[in-house]
Amino acid sequence: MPYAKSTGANLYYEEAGKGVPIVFVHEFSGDFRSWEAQMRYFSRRYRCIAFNARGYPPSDVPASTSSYSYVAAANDIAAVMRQLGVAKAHVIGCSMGAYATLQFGLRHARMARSLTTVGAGAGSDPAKRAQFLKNTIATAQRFEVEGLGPAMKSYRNAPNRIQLENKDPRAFREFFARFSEHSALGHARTLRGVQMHRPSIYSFERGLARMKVPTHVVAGDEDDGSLGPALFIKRVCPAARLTIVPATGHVVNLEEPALFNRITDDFLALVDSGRWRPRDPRSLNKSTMAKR
Amino acid sequence: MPYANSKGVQLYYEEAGKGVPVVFVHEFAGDIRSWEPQLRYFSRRYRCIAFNARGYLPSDVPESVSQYSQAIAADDIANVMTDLGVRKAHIIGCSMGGYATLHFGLRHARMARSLTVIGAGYGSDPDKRAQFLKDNDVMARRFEELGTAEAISIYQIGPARVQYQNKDPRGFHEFCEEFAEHSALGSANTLRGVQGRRPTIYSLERGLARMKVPTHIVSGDEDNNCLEPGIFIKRVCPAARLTVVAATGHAVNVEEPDLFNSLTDDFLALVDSGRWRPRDPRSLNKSTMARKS
Repeated sequence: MPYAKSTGANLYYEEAGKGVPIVFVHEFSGDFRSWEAQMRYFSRRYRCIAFNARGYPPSDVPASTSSYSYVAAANDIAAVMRQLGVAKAHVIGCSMGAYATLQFGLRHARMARSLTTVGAGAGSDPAKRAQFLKNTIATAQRFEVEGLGPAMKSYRNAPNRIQLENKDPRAFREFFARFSEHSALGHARTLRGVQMHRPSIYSFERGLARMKVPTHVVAGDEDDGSLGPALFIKRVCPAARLTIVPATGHVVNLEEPALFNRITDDFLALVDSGRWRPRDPRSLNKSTMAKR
Repeated sequence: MPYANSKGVQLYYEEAGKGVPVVFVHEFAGDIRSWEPQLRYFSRRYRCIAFNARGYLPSDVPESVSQYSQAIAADDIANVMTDLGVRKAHIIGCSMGGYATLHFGLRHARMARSLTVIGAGYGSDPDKRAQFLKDNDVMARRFEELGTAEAISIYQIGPARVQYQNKDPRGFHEFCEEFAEHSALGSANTLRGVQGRRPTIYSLERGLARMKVPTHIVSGDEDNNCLEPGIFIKRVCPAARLTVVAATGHAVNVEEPDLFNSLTDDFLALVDSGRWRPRDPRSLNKSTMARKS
């Protein structure tokens, strides 16, 4: 099985297709298999690379929580690319992976052709920050004490997952079956090392304002925790475009694969054609109606 | 030329196609012709009806401002439908027409199969309300004093129009030429009677929370005055779904016609198939992560 070596962990990856490289970065309750609908579509014209984060077998599950952090997660993307001889790639991440994708853009801008972030922002709302951290610790403890099965149950009716269950019960069952194959300890350490310690999206205003990498922020209109951060990124980062997808929850690529693939295809083609431009400063005019 | 009678005011309309009716309601800076990419697409499966608002030639241009209001704009939709023998239709409106569409859903729910509301929200932000009313008044005076062609020179490159100019210069040029043909009196009266007096989106909370008509809110991500109102409607109205379109300004249907048509096609088909459902109440759980037990 193919592995890329990163600091403190070997990371399992899969590849499909040839061409300009795309790296896919999965969410907390998913793994590289969450990108199947994208791998099958984009491999027609791109070199698609998906890998499992540290803590997700068959990638290594390092024993120490200190091996897990949002910085390590961004560096893992760069490590996978180096291993595969990829100097620059489109990076597409969901939720936890979207956060890593954004950090990758801030820390390794020269390796990024573009960034696509799906459902980034959970835990950013200052008013709900304390509750988010409390929930994260409680969930980590459940993974440690009760194991995967009981701990997973709380995700079953998550307010931003039930959209997938209502729309596409087959995909929801598959999502859940795959989730149940994960490492409980890997999850607990990821929660404690990555999710607990990552700063709120709002704290990156200065970096985002200066970041020049073409960025596409994607969120579901019922993924409440992502809406505020999505609008924030669009407003502070001239390189960012925002899509909100209707009647949709957290994992837009899984829930609405046809629409997600289409808007992503448009965005990547715009960037690769050299025609992408940052936001026109005239559009930032504060007028409520006409040019000032 | 075909006209529908709305309490004595003649409203010019055009029709294309047969099937379930769709009524298109244009924005302040547009007219019937703004919907051309939609009329050509949806007429394949729907009976498409587009009309010019009062104040927009060849519709009548009443001389008194009192003949123009938000409620009248919503009732004009109902009167066009009644005149054409249409009891229930999908309504699609942009900007000023989006507001009228929303009010149609609140006032004439039984005549609405669904509502699609593009770029609604201008004048709703409480912090910018005073400025909006001032800007609105300045524009109305420009129409009255300078005539349409000169009045619109600052409007057509407003902060949520430059996206269209950058993306599709041919489309933008056409938009400007058609805008310049509008009646100056009709435009001024519309600004004073409709835009300057309409209630903010936020003041409609109680009605929106109870409204049961399937609703699709569509905004461009650079149309700053519509982003929070869009999210507000999504949060208070269980019948609403929200789309924000990337790197896009005000009139999403003219700026991104293919994407708009495809999203709208999906929505109308969902409603007409009987499979549309309001928001699942479980998704309103306040948890930051999982279900609260």
